[in-house]
Amino acid sequence: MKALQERDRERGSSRLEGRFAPPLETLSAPEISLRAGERAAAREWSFDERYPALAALERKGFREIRAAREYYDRIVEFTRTEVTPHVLGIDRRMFEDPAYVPWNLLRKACSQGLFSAAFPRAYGGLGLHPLASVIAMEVIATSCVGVANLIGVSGLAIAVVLSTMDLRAVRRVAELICDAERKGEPKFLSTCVTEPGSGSDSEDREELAKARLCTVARPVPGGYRLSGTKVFISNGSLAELHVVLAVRDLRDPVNTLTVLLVPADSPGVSIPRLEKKMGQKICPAAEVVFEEVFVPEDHCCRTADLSGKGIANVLALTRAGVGAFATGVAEGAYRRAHEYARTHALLGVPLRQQQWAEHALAEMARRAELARSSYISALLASCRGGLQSLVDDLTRGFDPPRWVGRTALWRRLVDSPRALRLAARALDRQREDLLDAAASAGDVAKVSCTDLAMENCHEALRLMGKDGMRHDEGVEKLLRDARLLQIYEGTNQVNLIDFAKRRLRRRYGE
Amino acid sequence: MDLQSLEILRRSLESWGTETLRPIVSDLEHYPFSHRFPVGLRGDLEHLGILETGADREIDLEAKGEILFTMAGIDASVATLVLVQILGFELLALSGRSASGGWLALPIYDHPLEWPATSGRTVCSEWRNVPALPNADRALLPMIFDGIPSLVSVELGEAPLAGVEVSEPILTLGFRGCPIADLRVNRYCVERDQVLLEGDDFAHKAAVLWSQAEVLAMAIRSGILHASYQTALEYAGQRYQGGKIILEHSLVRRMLADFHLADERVQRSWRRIARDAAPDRPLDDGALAEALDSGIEAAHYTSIGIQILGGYGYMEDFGQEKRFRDAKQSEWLLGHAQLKRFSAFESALAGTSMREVER
Repeated sequence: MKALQERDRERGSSRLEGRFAPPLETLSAPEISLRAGERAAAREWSFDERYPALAALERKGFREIRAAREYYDRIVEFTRTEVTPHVLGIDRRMFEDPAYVPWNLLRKACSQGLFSAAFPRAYGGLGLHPLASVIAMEVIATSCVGVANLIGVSGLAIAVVLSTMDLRAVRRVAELICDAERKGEPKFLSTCVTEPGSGSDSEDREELAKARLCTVARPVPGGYRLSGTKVFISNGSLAELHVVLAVRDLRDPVNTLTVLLVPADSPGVSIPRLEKKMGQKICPAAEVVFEEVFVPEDHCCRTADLSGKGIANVLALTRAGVGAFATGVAEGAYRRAHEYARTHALLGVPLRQQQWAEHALAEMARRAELARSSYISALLASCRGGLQSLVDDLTRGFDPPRWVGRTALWRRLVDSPRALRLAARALDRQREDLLDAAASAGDVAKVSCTDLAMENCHEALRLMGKDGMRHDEGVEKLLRDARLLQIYEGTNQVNLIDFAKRRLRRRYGE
Repeated sequence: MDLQSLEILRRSLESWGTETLRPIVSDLEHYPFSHRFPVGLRGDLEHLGILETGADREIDLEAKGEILFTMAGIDASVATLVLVQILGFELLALSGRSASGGWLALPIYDHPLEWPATSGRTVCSEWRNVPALPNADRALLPMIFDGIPSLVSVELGEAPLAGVEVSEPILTLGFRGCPIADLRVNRYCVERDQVLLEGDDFAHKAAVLWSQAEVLAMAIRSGILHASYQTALEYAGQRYQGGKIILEHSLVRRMLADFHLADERVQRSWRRIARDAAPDRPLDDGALAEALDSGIEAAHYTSIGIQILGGYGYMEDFGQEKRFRDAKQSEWLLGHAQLKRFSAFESALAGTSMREVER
């Protein structure tokens, strides 16, 4: 010990300059975030640096990537100025006030079209390819995955509605979101799937048949009476509209699974509790109770085989989305660890000059790259065989401007029985092998990316030593936030079983 | 301590923990915001005879470990707080001083290699993440004066001391019920009588104490693991998925089987090391390796404990998320893991234990 201490003294102080800087805890909450945010923000990568494979595709003529590139630059700037400086302060505030909502930040998200990026222009959206929207979520998640989830979870609801191919319902929810965004006052959707007795089993056809469900949509004249309880519903307390998965007959859940659009202010809808989560506190999770809520017929999505292709279409896309969230966390953990290594020393030697630390950082960067490749691959697979392929098949790329979408003619067209038949045919034409491939890729991306993100968080904390445990350093929050990614959208274990069913059984003919 | 006495102590602890400690765990978790610490807690711990174990030679390492294991099963924060008191009392006993009541703060997240070095008796330095500091009446600060390892006692009262600054309680990942703060000392003059221990003798004793405390940290991790496993097992026996309880799903059985084996492995490990530890020598490298591994295992398996509960595991209600956070934070007890590894390896390379002072 004596020899090591002498070596330490020869090298000068074991602390770098600035050791008497004011403690972060005496600063105001936004200033806390700013300090950590400033440390985390180095030169941001260009689109080509961060997504070289997509840049290659762009050169091959994948035009949507150009739009994604431009959107990427906007969201990088938005994240740097509006998200990063505030996340720690907001997280801290959420501990004491779980009902707090960062409306200021959400209004600024409206100005970037974050809620409507992937919606057709006809409905008032930006009309971007889902690639752009999902990449935006990765960028935001690099700063805070809770914010990404808060903004992006409406996308899950849209995907569920879209998977029914009920274009009238799609128009309704899209216009709700887009119109609100245009006014600068965001509105949210929630997806009510999980029940107290049924979690991941709702997402698998075989498991669904045996699931202990409690939410029933009982047919009545003019519509349905909805009763039941949904738990852990992201944005449940904020949603203007709940997209509810319910069965019409508990004895046959597979064939009677239905999607209902339930306005949050409907009589009989209540939010008895907000969940106290370990992380992602900024995105509220609520229990939503439905007591004999009347849902008119036109609020029910007209669909068949939701439990088959419907669920697969949703999960293929949304699991790639969770992969994007996780990639953002993996990248964020790496950046914070890198910044810490740049500014701190261990036994008088700057961390970045210690080979073991350099190696650990390289491993973290590698994991982030790996995660990115995985979710991009899944997303493109979804475009080939999943939900986006359905949209492309139906629209043939036709996306008229907003003013057309507001005309009575357009609405009659979209709401017509003919449109419904065309959509149903598109669903029938959808190839199951490609859909399975897309869903499998989604499973792999979700599991891989979330596991890699957690590994990076653990590694970052190990590298930082005792400083890692402090909230003001920003890394322990990443760990708490990332942990949820291995649970929602189906636990990772269930995802892998789904992958086995879809991919491996198909390959090996079992 | 004989087995019968140990069993009596364990039952007393379990009973007190269930009746008194468990209902206030949630309040303790919110301490960084509320700044409200249960005033009766210290009295309860004194009444149970736990705090003085640090100074009582009759109570061996295994007995101390049992105390912390049992407490950690209910609330690892309080177990960590007790660990700090045990080590503090032991240091006071080594110096021949008695404890005057009140909480002791001791920077147990610092490895001895991280103790701040200073010249002269006028100290300018900083200790970050010091457990028990917000409530402490006295801080025991290890530091290096002109190359001489020393333990300095600083009395902290209601009135602020000149040159001594205690930060607001810090929000941390885990052990939130064991309050943590930073201590800054600026041109603080250390009086002779404040130096409790110094020199090679202190360095040696501190090295032994820190090393043996690894067993106590293992005991805390083991208590967390065991509680997490019990909760996961209970849940798996009640939760239905796909038409049957999840305990009947072979994947869940395998996860729980691995969890059970890890729980048993860590328990046996710390008890064996505690029994075999020589009172005046640091742990050998094999024991240190097991201690380091227990930190990684505790974090891994408490994460499994969350996963088995699914969404419920992530919510505060079942306590699994708290156990995961506490287990993760326990990795940092007694210093940076990299320093421990390097220190042990350099000793092995040198052929002698660096944890014993070169005389």
